[in-house]
Amino acid sequence: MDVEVLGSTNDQLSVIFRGAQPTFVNAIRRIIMAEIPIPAIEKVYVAENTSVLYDEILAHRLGMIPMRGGETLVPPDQCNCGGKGCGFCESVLTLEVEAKEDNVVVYSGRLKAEGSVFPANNDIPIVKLNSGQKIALVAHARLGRGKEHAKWQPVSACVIKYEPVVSIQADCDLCGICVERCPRKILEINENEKKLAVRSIWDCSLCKVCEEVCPKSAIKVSYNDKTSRLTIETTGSKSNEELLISAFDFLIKKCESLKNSIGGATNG
Amino acid sequence: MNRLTIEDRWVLVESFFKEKGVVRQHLDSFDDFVKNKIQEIVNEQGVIETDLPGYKIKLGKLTLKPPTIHEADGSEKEITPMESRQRNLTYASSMYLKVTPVENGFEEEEQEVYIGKLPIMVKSAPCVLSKMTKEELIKCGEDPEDPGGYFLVNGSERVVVIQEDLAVNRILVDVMEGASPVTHVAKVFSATSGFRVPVTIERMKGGDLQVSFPSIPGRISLSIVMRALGVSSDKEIVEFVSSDPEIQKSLIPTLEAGMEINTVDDALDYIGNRVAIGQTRDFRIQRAEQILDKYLLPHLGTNKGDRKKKALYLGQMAEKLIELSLGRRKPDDKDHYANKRLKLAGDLLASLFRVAFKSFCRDLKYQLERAKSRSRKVSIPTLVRADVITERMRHALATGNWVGGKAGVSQLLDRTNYLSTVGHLRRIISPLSRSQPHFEARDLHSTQWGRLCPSETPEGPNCGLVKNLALMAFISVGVDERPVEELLYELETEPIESARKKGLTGAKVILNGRLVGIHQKPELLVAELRKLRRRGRIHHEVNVAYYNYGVIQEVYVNCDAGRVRRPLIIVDNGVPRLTKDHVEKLLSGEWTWNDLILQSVVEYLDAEEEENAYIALTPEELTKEHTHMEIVPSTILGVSASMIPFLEANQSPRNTYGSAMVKQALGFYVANFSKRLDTRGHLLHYPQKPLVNTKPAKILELDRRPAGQNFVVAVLSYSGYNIEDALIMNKSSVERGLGRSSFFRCYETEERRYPGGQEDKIEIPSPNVRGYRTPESYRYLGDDGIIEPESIVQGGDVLIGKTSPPRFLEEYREFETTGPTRRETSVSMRAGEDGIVDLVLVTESSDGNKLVKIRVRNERIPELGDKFASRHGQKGVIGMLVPQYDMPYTEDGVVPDLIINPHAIPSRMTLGQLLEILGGKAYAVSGEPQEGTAFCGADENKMRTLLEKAGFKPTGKEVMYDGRTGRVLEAEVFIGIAYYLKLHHMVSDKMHARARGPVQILTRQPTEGRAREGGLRFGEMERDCLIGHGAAMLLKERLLDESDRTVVFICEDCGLIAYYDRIKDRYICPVCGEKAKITRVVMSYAFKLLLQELMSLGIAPRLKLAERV
Repeated sequence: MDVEVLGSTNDQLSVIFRGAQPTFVNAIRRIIMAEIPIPAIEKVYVAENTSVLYDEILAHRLGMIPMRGGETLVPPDQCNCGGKGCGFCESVLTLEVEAKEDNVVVYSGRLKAEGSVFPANNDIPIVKLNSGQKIALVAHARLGRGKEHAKWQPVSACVIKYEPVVSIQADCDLCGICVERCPRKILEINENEKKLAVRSIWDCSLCKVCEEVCPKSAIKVSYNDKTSRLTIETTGSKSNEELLISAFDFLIKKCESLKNSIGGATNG
Repeated sequence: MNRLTIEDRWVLVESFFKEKGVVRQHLDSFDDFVKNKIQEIVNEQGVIETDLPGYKIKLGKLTLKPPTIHEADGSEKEITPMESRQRNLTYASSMYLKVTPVENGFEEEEQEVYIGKLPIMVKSAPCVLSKMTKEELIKCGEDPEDPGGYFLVNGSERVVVIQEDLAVNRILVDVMEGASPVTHVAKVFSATSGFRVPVTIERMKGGDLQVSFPSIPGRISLSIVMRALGVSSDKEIVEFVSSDPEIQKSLIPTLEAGMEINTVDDALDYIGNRVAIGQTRDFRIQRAEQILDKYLLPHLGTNKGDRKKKALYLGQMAEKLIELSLGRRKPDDKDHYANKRLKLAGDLLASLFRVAFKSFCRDLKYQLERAKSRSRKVSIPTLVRADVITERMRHALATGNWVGGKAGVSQLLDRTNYLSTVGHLRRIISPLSRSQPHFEARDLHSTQWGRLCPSETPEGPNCGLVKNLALMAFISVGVDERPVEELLYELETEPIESARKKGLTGAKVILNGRLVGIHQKPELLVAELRKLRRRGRIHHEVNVAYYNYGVIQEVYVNCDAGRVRRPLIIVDNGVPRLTKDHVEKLLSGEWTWNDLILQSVVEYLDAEEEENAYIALTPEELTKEHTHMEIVPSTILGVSASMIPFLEANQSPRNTYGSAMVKQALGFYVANFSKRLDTRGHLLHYPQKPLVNTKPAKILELDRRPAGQNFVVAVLSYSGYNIEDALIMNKSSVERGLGRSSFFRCYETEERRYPGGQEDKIEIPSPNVRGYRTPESYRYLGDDGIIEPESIVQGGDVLIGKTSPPRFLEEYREFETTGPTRRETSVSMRAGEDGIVDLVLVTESSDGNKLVKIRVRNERIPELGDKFASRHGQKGVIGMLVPQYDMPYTEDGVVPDLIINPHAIPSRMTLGQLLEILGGKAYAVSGEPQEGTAFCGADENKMRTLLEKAGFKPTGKEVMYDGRTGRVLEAEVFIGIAYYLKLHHMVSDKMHARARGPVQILTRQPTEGRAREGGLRFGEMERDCLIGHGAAMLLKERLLDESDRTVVFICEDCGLIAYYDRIKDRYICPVCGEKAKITRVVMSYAFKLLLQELMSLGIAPRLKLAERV
């Protein structure tokens, strides 16, 4: 398996896996989405809430805020408290705002971290307050996995794409219709070589418009499922690289445990 | 000249709604009632005559004060609608009437008396809200966008639904079919203020005409009635009917039928003989005159002097009937909208007030006579019983039971979402019974174009009978016909009486159904009338129509109330009067809609006048022949159908379903929801305005009160959990807040006072109260006996602790030493519901009692079985919630929120939905708004180009990858964005199961229904199934053991029911005594009941017992 890192732009990380089954890359994708533990607010103790939002809506909005930190937290299922919540598996944040004027927007930056967990982004609006309205609450964040609830999903997008294959037959008469019509504009006519060429193959969306419009059926679009590109876009809890590495670690650990249990079974 | 674009014409629609709002018809009608009709009703009564010699009371001016409430302490306080809603008050104004007692011709001093309360329509002229600015409305606790147009009765919002009615005072002729002796009929409903009397003329097989009307049994020959009305000679009768010789000839059989009766008195005697048999001749004549004056065609007048008019009217009816029988005209179309009138809140309240006022006067007369017989001097204010009117009006509005036995006239305002509220206020009910087929009445009639929505009607028994106003349909309020009549004479209309004398022929001129004259040049008359109307010489509500059927020419002039009219742009010689300049003026605010009417750019046509119009749909198709142009074709739709994007691409029944469903969608129903205490209410958490929107939705401000969310929709068969209209929803989207809503339910109770000084008490009940629950039930209650806000409550928890005094004397226990104990009457949560106490309101009702209202909220997260729908009649329930990592995705990382099954599309042909998805996607990727307004929505090809430009396949399809395996999906998937509605049918409100539970007291069988925690019926067919399988044991268990099994003691000697005497420890038969042989028998309790019921009828049902084999 050959791995090429395309580098990250806009919080995105793209990695090309060559010679790997798409199902294998998908396992990595699914682990990132569902298995990597990250912190998120799970319990909210509302002391005062005179805002227009109900407690449950407020709590839901707090839960959706991506959180960083929490490296020292114990996953609740491994904690001595038995998952009930304690100082080892939970980290406390507080929020206390009283509006002195109308239209005060409370941002996630106002959450004060008492423990190791803090908001990944300080500009997420939580609630808008009018003059005299007040919220005071204590929030408990804990580690969780994406399969429990979407708020523990560390990525917003995490997708695999097959490598597109565009093959141009010899009977191409360079009419240029496909160049014109390709939505992604990936085709060009190389004037020097008098040949139709693909400019950037990974931009092809496999839409096959070129195939449909070609009067001579001289262009064919297919894909190579042995090569695929994984794109990760984090919500901010962990960096894309961390996520990818943790995913491999997790997969290895899972394989180990499978190996062990199989080994145990054959030996015993 | 610049061509008018469709956008320009929409400006007109916008200005129309800006000026009028959505419920102007109701408000206009009510304002007219308050301003004119109410005083007319008082004037109709005029004086209250008493039986006291020389004593009467003259009635004067009626005045209305602003809406008030009489508090328990006796003070009168002005109230706002919000206070009425919160305190269960009736929003009503006090009415004061000027009265002058007259004694022996001497007028005493005029005095003003309080006569009762009139419920006030919210936002009508007498309502305090009508003059408020937006900010003031908000300060008052109102939603500034609330349309008004409803009443507040006992705190609940009641709509007086528009009633459709056959036009009154118009002659309708019809052919009778079948073997009846009648060949043709002419019928007219004569209605004046208050009553409605039908009069029919029937043409019998022999050709003679017979009149029938209520209060006289049977038919009377037309010639006799005419004679009784003072038309003595045959020649005159013929003249009164027609000047046409052929028609005159057809009258011969009629004249022959009345040959024996030759004088007016003889004719009256003949009629009198029908009603006052065996009386003296003088009395009979007197009775006949009375009946003719009062009950024959009362709309023409009820005095002796009006008899000529009535004879003329009967003549007109006869002429029309003969014309029909001669084949000169066709039978009238009852479903033609020119023959329909709509009754609005004002008209309905007027008829209600008339009855109430009559009984008020009767009561006052009685009180006066009683008081006067006791003392010399009477004080009118103390004698007036104001409750008579107040209660009558309030009760009718509260129950919907109107005068004349109509039920369901007022309904509880639908507050599911803003659209359903507006839709409810624009609904029209036809009084035709829903049990009969009435196929023609249910059909869409071509004259309904632009007046009633062609799509929005319920399915089922009410289909086509319940209708909805089209967007720009407007209902006439009615103008005085006298100036119109005078104008007609001015324009050389020969008055009918002189025309008949001269034997003139020409076009008949009919004003509000009454023949007023003959005109020689009808075309000129009609043209002149229209010209005068456009110049403002006559009121714009006057409509003229000219019918020419060859021999018959008729000019109809209408100015009565209740005609559905619609505005159209006037066209002269193929050039519309509306110019770009006008549009600019409207846009700049220099002009309003009313200026368009005043300047005669636009005029309203009723269904009658539209028969003469030739209307172009677009400026492009205008020719010289056209008289008018549509403002916008989409305004033929009603408010609900206007919500559907690309409606014209859908199969028509889908639009009907869609219109019904947008009214069930949860959304942001009112902006003041936090102040309201509706019995049930839903609020969508993150409502969005539709990505693909329609112009009417924007104009009606529906965007500001949205009811749905934009979902990323993929059309795909994935895992099979979306077959048969199920939906697969993205679980992660749901967890992120998609489709969340809050459900509110309000509980309330009042601390009542009872006669005898006893009263309810809101408190934590003490354990010795009868019916005391467990102490845990009361754990959330504060010291005042009311639950604390934000308590988390479950089914059965007490919200308001209350005790009441014992109900009856029998409740006193026999050996009670402490005296009677109070009853527990706490208000508790509904079984099976839970939530959080949202609001606690403690106030005072109008009786001065403590009133407590509690609102409980409950968060509703979409779950399996919740119902969602698009706006195209495509509904479905959630079949599976799939987490994001299992959902299919595109290479850009787009994951659908919803997966619908491809099979939902072909058979239903909702192409509008596909266009919406495409348009939504094009808008989302390009940022260019795509509209779906009916008939003028975005161009499909343009949307495709936008997609292409953004790097997407123009078909809207994309390659998707399976989230479970990572493999590419074989087929390309159509994916885009559509507006989805969460409908208020949710599983948590419906799911129900029971093992053991309550039983009915009478039969001891399990109760029925979820609300009573009932059992699921094991019905006949299920029983048949068990019989078929021979599963006797199971059958017995289901039907007996698990139902109403009971043990009854039967006396074997007499076969009747015996009993066990516990004290003596003996079995006793009431017939045979103690020595009888008594056996235990297991039977159904219902059967035991049957035995006893038979006994109560005096039948002895004897059971013969035998050993079990």
